[in-house]
Amino acid sequence: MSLLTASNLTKRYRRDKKAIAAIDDVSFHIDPGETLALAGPSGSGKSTIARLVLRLIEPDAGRINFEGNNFLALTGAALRARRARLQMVFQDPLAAFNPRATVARVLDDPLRIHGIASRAERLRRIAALLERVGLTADLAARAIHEISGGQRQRVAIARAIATKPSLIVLDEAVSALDVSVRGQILDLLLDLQRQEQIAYLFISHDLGIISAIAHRVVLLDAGRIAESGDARTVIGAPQSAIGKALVAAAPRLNRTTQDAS
Amino acid sequence: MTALATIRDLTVTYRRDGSEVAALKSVSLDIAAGERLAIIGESGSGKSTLALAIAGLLPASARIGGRIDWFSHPPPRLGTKAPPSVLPDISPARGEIGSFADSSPSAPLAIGEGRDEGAISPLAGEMSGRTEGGAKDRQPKIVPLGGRDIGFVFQDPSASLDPVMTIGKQIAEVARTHLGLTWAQAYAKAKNLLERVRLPDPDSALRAFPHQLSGGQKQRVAIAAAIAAGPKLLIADEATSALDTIVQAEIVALIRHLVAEDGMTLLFISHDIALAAELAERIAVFRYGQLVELGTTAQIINASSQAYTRALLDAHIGLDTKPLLNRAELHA
Repeated sequence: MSLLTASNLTKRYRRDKKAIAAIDDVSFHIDPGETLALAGPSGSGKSTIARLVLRLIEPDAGRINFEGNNFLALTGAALRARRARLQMVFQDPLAAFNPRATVARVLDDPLRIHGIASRAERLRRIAALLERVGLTADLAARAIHEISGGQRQRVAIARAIATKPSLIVLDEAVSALDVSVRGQILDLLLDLQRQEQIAYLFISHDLGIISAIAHRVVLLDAGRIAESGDARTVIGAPQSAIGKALVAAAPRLNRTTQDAS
Repeated sequence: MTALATIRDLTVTYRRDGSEVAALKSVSLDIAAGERLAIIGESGSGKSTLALAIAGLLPASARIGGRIDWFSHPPPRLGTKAPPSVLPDISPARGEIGSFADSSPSAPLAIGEGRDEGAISPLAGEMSGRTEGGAKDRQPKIVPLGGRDIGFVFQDPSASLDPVMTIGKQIAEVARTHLGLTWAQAYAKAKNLLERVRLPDPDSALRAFPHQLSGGQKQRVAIAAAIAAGPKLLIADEATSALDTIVQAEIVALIRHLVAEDGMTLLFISHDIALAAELAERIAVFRYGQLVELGTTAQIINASSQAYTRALLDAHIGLDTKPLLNRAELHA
């Protein structure tokens, strides 16, 4: 059974007294332990879908079923409890966190709010989370603004896995990272997926990364699904106009030698 | 190769939290007239500091050492006649910029040790080609003027455009300031520039405000303003990094076209080595404020001598990269 099923989602925004559909009749599903990528140009509705799935905004029409529940009907304590299973990592962790908070504070919040660990146990849990994402425990005392961008994104991932989620929404989560750091973060995400069976909704404009790490891809154009399917099949031979344009626009290195020594 | 500028032992130091941080360490580099040169590096490599130093846009608190020498005659419009056809090897599309030559009596200008000499400040550049130097330097100063001789396109067009000024005025202002045009002439020039950057409906775009345009359209406007005065050097600092892939490809194609058409030299600053390789003839790789490697694009991509450059190339994830995902394991 699918972990998450989104059916006929529609979201309209009002602009100049006209309703503009950011998302128009979009349906997709995500299986447990699977990476589904969303790709498309600016304004195609990628981030609107992320916000709808996280219930940061409510759709005008459509249904979302998550872990067997009507996710849009949940309220109060039931919604809060279910949200522990659905986490998020954004592009810019500096904007997502209080920059003056310490790393320990950022990781303590989900453990406390979701009642995952007692106060006495939380310090040990924080150290374990840091270690899980490849950081050392002594980083806990540092402020968010003091650590590097790559370390910050690792902390964001540690915070996301603190509540043992089944699905993490990654909205351009590696786009702002240096390429050397980006590879390490992608390896970490794949490793976590293997170990914990976490599914990812991976939002990116970068088809190269999508074809390297995603199982399936949904290509969006102006709020509608243009094309979807196996990631490497779709990107290898796109059928839709937007798919062809995205593939044509991807920068290519054209190395004649692949000397990795 | 005719040099547009030579950079020697350029060191830039910022003061941060009471300590000195060197953003550029003794960098030497030649920029050839008419070339497309990419500056590649990760965060903290110094690539943006280099761009700002060349454009004379470093903050006043920055300490600058070394020198940037410009080899250029003052533009003819300032009343100094350029020697005719000293440059058979480059054939710029526009006559007024065909006046670079290191063999002709142009004068290198040293950037002094301190900011106070102001050799690369825009204000000093106001005197471009017309003044005698101070007591230290009796040679005529050739200092490019930001906005006129150097066009600069930044990453975020929303931050570089004035939100309460019309698009037309922002572009016309550059033409009026640097080319001495009347407002009417400057607006006509602005409209022509909007056509050249292929903005749909240039007439209404002249009267539009930045917030009414998309990100890609704003970057086209920023490019129009950058080239309005006919600069010799166009610096694009991560100019396409905030745009989606399709718009990025369009803007790169536009930059390539404009640079060729106007015979401009291009300095393309980017973190994306694949994108740089598609556009540039030469690539300079920076790391930790130092120049790691400089070569033709083919040399850098296919025959790099530096481990760091090869690591950058290997870290690139393109459409043809082997999947990181073991796809058999999902339903195992």
